[in-house]
Amino acid sequence: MRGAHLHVHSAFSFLNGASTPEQLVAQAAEQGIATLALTDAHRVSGIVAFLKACERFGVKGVVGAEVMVESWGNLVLLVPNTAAYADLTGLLSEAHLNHPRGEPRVSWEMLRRWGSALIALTGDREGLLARAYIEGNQKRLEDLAEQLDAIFGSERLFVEVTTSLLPGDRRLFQALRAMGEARGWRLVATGAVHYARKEDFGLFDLMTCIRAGKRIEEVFSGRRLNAENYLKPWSHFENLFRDWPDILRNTLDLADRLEPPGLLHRRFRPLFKTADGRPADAYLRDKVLRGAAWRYGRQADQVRERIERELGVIQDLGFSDYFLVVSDVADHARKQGIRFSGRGSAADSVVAYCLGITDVDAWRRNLLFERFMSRERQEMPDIDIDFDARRRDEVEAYVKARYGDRHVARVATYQTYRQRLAVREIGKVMGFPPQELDALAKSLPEAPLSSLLERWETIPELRQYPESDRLKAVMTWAMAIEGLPRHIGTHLGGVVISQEPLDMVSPRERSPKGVEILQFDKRDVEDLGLIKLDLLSLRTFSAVEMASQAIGQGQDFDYDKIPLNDEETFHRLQRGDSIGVFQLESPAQRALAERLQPSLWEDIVASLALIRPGPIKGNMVDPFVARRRGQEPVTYLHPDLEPILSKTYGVVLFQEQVIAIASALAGFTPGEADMLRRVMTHARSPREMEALGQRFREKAMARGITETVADQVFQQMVGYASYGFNEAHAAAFAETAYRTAYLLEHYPRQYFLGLLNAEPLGYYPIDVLLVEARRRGVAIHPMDINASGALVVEEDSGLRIGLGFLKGLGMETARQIVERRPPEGYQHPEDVAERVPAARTHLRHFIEVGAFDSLSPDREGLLNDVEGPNGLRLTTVQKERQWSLSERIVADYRLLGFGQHQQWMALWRPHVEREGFLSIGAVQEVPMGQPIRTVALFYRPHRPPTRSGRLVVFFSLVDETGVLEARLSTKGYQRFGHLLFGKVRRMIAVSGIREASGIRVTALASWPPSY
Amino acid sequence: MTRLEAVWVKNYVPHQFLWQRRLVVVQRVLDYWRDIGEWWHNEPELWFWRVQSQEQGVYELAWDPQKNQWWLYYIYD
Repeated sequence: MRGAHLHVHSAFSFLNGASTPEQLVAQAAEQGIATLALTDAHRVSGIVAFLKACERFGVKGVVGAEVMVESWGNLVLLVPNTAAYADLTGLLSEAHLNHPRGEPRVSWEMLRRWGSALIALTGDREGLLARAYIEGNQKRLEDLAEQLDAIFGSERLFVEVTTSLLPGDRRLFQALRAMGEARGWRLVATGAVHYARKEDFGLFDLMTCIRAGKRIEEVFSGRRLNAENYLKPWSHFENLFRDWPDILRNTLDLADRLEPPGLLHRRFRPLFKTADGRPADAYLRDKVLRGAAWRYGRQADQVRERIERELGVIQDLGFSDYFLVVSDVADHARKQGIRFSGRGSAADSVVAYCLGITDVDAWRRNLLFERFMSRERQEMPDIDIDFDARRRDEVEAYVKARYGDRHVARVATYQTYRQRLAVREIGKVMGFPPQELDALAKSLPEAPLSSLLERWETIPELRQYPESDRLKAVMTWAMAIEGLPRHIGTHLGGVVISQEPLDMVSPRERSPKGVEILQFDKRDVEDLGLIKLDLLSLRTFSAVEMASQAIGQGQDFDYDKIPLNDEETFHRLQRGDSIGVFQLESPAQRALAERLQPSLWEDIVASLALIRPGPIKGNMVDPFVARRRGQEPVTYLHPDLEPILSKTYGVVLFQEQVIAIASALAGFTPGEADMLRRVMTHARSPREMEALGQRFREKAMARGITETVADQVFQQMVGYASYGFNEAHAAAFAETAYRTAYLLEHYPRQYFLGLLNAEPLGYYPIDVLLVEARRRGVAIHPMDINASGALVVEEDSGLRIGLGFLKGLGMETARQIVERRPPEGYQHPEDVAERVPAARTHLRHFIEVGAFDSLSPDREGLLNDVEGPNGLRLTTVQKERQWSLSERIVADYRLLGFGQHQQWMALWRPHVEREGFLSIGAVQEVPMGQPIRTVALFYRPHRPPTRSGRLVVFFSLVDETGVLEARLSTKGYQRFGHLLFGKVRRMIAVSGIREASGIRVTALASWPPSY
Repeated sequence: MTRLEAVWVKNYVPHQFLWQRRLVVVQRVLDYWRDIGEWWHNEPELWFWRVQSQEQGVYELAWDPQKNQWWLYYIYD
């Protein structure tokens, strides 16, 4: 291998690079390039993938970044060794944090402070020297040269010439060469690479247009003239610079001088300062044992062995401090009364349970710790905790205050191009009107774009478009951009905590939300040796807290002491009447509940694991239901499987069961068994799977299992390993699912109050929740400027809609309106604007949704008033100007998104009844198998995976009397799919056959037909 | 842009060409670049040379590598 590319941009230069780091490294390896430097613009986000790929392909990977020096132009900075990496991260952090977001800059002063160990290249045509030369500014050129010389000197500064083949290159290079020779600087050659292969240029050019907000036909500054910024073989360099061999020599010499930074094999642990100065291991043991006494009382001794085993792994892997940190976070939240619950595989740990991090008793459930952590795997433990969404940030603030700003940071996410965004942005560049693209993007089925392109004619919502050839071109390019990073954002809740300052690992910048984040995502931070804790927001906890508070006002109530065997709660679930229940409200879950008839806690745990793409596709649901209901015998392939599978009636449902089977039958250690499970999950080739099967068979047979049984068991494991669900996670979620079902059953008014105030959450929109609330006898009072709170409040036996629900108002303004309300109440819209100026622009909307009806039912008059001269309040009430019901409902849906007085369909009821259509409530009374016709609003049309693999559409039908699910067959989808996806009207006429899960649709039509 | 029927090349670099029945000998290459054109309309990539002839004329030559066709793109007065 020979040659070096020292100036390379990946897609992590965000729209200024069209290839992933892996693609670039693979291309370098193919070209025989020995050294590759990744120099993305102001960031190092790509280096983990890059360095890993370099290790894999045997390419020497060097790290760097391109920076903008004040407003003069770019400079490429290279990291010559591991120690200098922290200088680059420090520089980049300052460049981002001291400047407006999206406009990072480096000053000379910063370069002086951070640049003493870095190597600088003068950049391509956007480089500071080239720009000064091209602009003909000799004075500036000299000044810049002076500054660079003073900071980097001739040892660390290199003049860059490129293989970009642009007009004027010869003169530019000659001028730069003359300048370099005069100052003793050496010249190096780069490819100024922005994509891996020449054929990637089209995508790069489209990205350039997206970045500039231009159409492809437009000529604009900054757009590349040619397709020469690809990763060229070294022979191209030799050919192009054959007359200047010193440039080639200098480039190779510099490449030799640069060392790959050792970033991937470090470990940065958090440090927990124990109160008494004892080592973390001993302190953790004491704390866990105290926790065991709290959780298990007299049975604590029985759990001791399990606890010691877990502690042994935690200590051996060096994670005692981490557990103490997480435990401390949980303690703090508990003290502050912030509702939280640990979830995910951490709930497989008895230690986490004893520390109060999780609420799942892993010992009683016999959950396998090795699914969470094992010596064999040696991966970072990943603990996720859900907090009341309203207070999650308080928890992060506590962590920062306790461990220090420099030691705690939020993890980033790379927002990547997905189908819809890709189609929208590529389509815009290619000249399609935004409305058309919006409709197209919304109507795209959830399938890879490649498959959509192949099946274009069979997809009704696509084949309706004219210009299909042009749209196909858009989708072909969208396919190329799909998956590439678009920008950096904030991870939902991941924070890293390290004993060493995090500047050693990553630069920081501000996310679009203004949060300070690292430049790496959750996978990358682990590869960099950081340990992550997920502090997540769960709006359901906010709903629960608000509901509990409302219930507690009238009686003694403790959410945490809800009885776990309440028959009425289970009856509600059995009826499928669970809209609003955490994780159990979706149509699929409600349909399952009607079949499964849950009456035990374990039924809920199983339900959460069953409604997943894997179990549905793998046909696990029917056997499970049949066995649970006693319609099919429960059998086991081997008696040793009974203790493992009895709780799921012989069906392998959970990942933990796969691990347990491998341990029980084949004698794998639990850690080895989890490794086996993971390999089974990812092993794709028949040969790999055969090798695994052989190993399993041999070990099982050595323990006296027959070959046939070993083989059958292995096949069962293979079938379920890839989509089995984590039992600990299901058990953790079941806790909240059951309790919220209990609230819905016994305290509907207070629970709907919580749900509405915690919006957006759950499967259904507010409109549906209000239908459900009314159905449960909860009166909904409309928004009133003097009676409403900022949020929904209780009033009489019902709920009053809050002012904060007005679209665009904002909760802060709503609170001000309430807080500044005079004792006698507001008497006129102008009073509101006088006390809360920010509300002025919303007065019209308040009037239109009837917030002033109690002062004057003449909305027209009030509108004249606030839009008249200086709010003179001249209008007298004229009854004949009062709005009709239809006008009021239309205003509600437009400005609130739901009907305050009545659901939309109530308006149409007399009309549709005359036409012979039934209400949803009436449809529910129709015997199974009978034909029905109804008109309703439809919500959430979707095409989930089905067992048969056929495309079936499900959607919810809602009117003022209830909610019902509808199913449209593959054939029906071909005929009517265009009415459900894309730019469609939400009111629809349905005819079909009544069936257990709702309606089997036979025909659809937009309603009313005259539109 | 005029199609050139005969261009003599050494190491991919034009060193003489026939234009208006006259042989133009390249004395030196002043500049060289490539231009991708309107690729989305399937325009070909062109390679350009700005050359000075022995008679001190300055010409821009373009080559379409796909079709191996030469063009006289521009003449500087």
